[in-house]
Amino acid sequence: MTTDAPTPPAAPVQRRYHFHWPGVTYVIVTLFLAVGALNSQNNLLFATLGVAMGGLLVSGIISGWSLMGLRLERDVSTAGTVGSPMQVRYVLHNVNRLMPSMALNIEEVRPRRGTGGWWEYFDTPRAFVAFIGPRGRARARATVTPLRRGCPPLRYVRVWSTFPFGLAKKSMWFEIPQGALVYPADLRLRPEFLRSLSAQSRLGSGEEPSPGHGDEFYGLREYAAGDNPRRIAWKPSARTGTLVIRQHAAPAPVRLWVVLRLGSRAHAGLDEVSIALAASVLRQAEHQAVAVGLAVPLTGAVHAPRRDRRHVARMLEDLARLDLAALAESRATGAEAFPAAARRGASIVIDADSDTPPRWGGGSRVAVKQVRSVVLDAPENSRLLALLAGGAA
Amino acid sequence: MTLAARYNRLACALVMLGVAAYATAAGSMLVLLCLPVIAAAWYARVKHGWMLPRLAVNILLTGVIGVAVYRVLGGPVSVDTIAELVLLILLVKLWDRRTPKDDGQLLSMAVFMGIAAMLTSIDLVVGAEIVVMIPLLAASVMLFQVYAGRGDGPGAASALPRGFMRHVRSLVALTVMCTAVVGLSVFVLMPRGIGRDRFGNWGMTYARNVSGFTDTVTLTGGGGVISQSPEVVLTLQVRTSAGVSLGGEQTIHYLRGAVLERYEGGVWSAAPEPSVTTIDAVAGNTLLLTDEPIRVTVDQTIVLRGLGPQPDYLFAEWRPVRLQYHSAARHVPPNAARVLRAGAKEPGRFEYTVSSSLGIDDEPGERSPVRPVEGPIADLARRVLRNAGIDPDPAARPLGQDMDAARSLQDYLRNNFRYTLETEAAPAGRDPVEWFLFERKAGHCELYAAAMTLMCRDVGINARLVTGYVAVEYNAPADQYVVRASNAHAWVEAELGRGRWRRFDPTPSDELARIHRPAMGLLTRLRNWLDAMKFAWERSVVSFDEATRARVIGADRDDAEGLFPAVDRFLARVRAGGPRLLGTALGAGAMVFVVCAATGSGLVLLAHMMRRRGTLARRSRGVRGREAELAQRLTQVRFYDHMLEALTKQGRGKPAWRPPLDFAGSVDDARQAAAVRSIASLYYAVRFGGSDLDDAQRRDAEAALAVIVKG
Repeated sequence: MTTDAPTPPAAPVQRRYHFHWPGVTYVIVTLFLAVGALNSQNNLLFATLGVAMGGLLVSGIISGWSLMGLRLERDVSTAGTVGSPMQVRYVLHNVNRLMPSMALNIEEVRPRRGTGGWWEYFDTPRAFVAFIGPRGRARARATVTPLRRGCPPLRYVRVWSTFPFGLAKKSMWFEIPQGALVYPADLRLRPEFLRSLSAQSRLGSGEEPSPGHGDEFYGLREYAAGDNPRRIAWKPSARTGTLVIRQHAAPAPVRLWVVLRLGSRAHAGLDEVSIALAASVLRQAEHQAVAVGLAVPLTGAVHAPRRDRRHVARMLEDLARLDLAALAESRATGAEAFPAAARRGASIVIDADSDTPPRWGGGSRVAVKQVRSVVLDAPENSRLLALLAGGAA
Repeated sequence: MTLAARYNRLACALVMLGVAAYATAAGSMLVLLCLPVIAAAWYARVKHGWMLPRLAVNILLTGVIGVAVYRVLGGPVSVDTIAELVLLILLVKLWDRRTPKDDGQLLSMAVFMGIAAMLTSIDLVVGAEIVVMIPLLAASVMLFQVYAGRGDGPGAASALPRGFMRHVRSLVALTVMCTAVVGLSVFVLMPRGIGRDRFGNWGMTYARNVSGFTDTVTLTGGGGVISQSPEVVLTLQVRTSAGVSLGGEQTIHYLRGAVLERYEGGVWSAAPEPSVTTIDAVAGNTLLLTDEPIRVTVDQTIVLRGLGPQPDYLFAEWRPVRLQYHSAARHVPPNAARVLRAGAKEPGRFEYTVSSSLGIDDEPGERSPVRPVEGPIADLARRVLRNAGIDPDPAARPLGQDMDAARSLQDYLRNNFRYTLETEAAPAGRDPVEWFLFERKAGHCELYAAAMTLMCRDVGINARLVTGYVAVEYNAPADQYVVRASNAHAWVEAELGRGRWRRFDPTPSDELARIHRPAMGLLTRLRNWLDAMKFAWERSVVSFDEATRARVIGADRDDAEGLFPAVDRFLARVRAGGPRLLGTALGAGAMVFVVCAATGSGLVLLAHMMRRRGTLARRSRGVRGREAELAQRLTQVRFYDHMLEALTKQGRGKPAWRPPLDFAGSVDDARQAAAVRSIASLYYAVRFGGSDLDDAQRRDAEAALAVIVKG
């Protein structure tokens, strides 16, 4: 996969204590007990005051002890998709020999509010671990729904607990710099578009046929030793007086180019819709076992059609990493050319700028402004399109 | 068991225990009746998810607030008011457990109920409930942290991680141990007496004064010392000056309190005193009560369960000669009758040691003059003495015969009257003593004592009525007498020569024993143990005061006893003894460790074996259960047995080693083979598939069996 590999267990870099309202309440009650004991000279209250103070002490000892042996791994190797749940996995190790750790909350540390950036489109991943025995480990998963494609930067993870009595919130900070990957949104395409996609791909088999093991007839040739007698063409053999056998053509590779034309000056959201649509076509092509390639003229990125899951993942990653802001300059020059390689095959041109007339032949053109004619009229599509076209992503 | 189930059990138990503690402390049956309500609410929420709608909860809470406002406006706010308010909110919140926050509030309210219980009562039972609450609270809160973090998601219902509860138990044990140590330290080290009642009286902080003694005994009905209350008034330890215990189940001690010398209109009262002055005495003060030389003494250490700040009677055997206070007191100098009185500076438990002289008196000097009252009582007294051969005329009777005279009167009363606790008032206008002596001839100890006192006076013997307690209930485990309100008694002191007062008890001795001595049975023994525990509780917890604290920790370094001096002595011994002492100590320590470790390991092993046996038994029960279930299911496939029998009769029986379906393949006849296969398949479905047959399958089986039987 193309995201960062899981890290080795990291040791905490910082420890923090926060006194929150249950702790404040506890202290107030303890003070109340002290005042009550002194005022009434009730020995039971004196004893209870001692127990309350002991509870405070024990709470500090247990919580500190149980968190001290924690080590953390984070795994974001599985890429997410805009608008779909994405999982961030954690493995917590407790290297403590005696003390278990309980009720552990794991959460990524967000930068301070107002700093903007990725975190405005990314919920804080949170996970919970009920128990880790001494020298044990536990796995946890945080599920988030990213609202933007790209590489959300993850750095600090905070593991906190209020165990045992909920009096104070103790946290350990782990520094694990990693980048997750979020693919463009996955739009559900209309079946007729998918059928046309399939047809396009077949039309796109522009290469010369070659002999092979397909079903199509390729030609006749003289019999040679070792040929399967079942493939002898008896009638032509009778006509020619020489044994000839039938040859079949090799299956024609089904190839499709997806050409992504960015460059909407009217609305940046259309570019995002274009990218999402291109990604959806790539995914669908993969499902239909079509060798698919991608060309993005503005960036010069060209991926020749191949039928390979990892190939599709690489193309999706390219789409995920497209930085529209950086491309603004290239977009202004308009210096984009239809990729030469794509001219020979069938192609689907996804055009973000509907005002520009189609200049390139050879393939069908999808104007993003009419994207609803391509995608299913489903609520999730509407939600995603609204999200993308709204410029949020 | 899931986490939620475990948490719910513990939390429910904690809430119920908190409410039960308050119910015990307040003595409220109504609060006690809330316990089933709490259990039902918890059950309904856990098992059926029942909750009240938000609107209903809000209405109820508004009602609770209304009640609270009404109570606050109606009178002073007390602990009871607040506790009842918390209880009402708790009862409403029980039906509104939607989020973990609600559970947290319930746990907090349970703790508040426990605190309210402590502010209301310091009884042993309340203390025991609070002690049980502590580990329960620790475990509940620990589970709550995990429960609240997991939430109600799919993980909540999943089984607990392996070892989770074992570690929770360990942590609870650690918590209890540490909090006990810290709690004990704070309990001992916190100074007492600072800031008392600075913010008003918050609740009952000391046991009530239960001696209930007054200066008057009214024989005309009501009043008096007669009581049947089992409430413990005081505890008594009797020792010789050498420290030998004089307690025993057959030994009775008379603790005199009030001395009543005036009789008028059926009412006995103490002689008036012009003024009562008090002297402040600190704990440890010893006061001499006489100028006489002190000979043999008996030391009585008495712990009164409750003594107020106003001077009240102290109790002691005749004749008190020395008094040592163990609590700060307002001492009242004793009068001529050596009646002891004091008030407590810190109300509550009050302890003192009084030494009574058992010395042999000097030769009697002369008889104190007594003015007889002529009347039927005097006639009776004279007649009794004459019948005993004693001259009733004091002028003619030698002083040495006064003892015999008093004994004769005592015996007369003991033998001719019936003892009863039925307090029947004398008819109007009649003297109660005369009515007792001449008409009713039955009564209680006050009437006996009053009659003898008057009869003694009428024959020239100075006498007075004494009220106090008889200590008959000896608690061997605690080596002390437990004296209850029902042990109140009245007797007579007669002066056999000036200043030579002797005790006489005209109450029939067997009746006295019957009334006061508890029956010795299992229940009594249990009660004795309970009393011993109560005594220990009150002595070491409830009544722990500044003096005790100073004594325990040795706040004054000059004090011979206490923690600090003990440490000093130990260090001095170590310094003096050197390595040899250290080696001996280490050896002893190792021995103790080995013994403790062996005992502990044995107990752990025993517990493990018992647990293992329990597990095996449960498994065995499980296997038996499954076998029974299988046997029940196999009754559906009797046709399989019938098939085997039919095939055996036809000489084509199935070998035992051959599986049924395989056997079906070996049958020659195709129809029969199909029939055997059909039956075998059904048998497999029931025997191994665990499924039940429907009617169609049964019919198929019967048809196949018919084919096989026909051959």
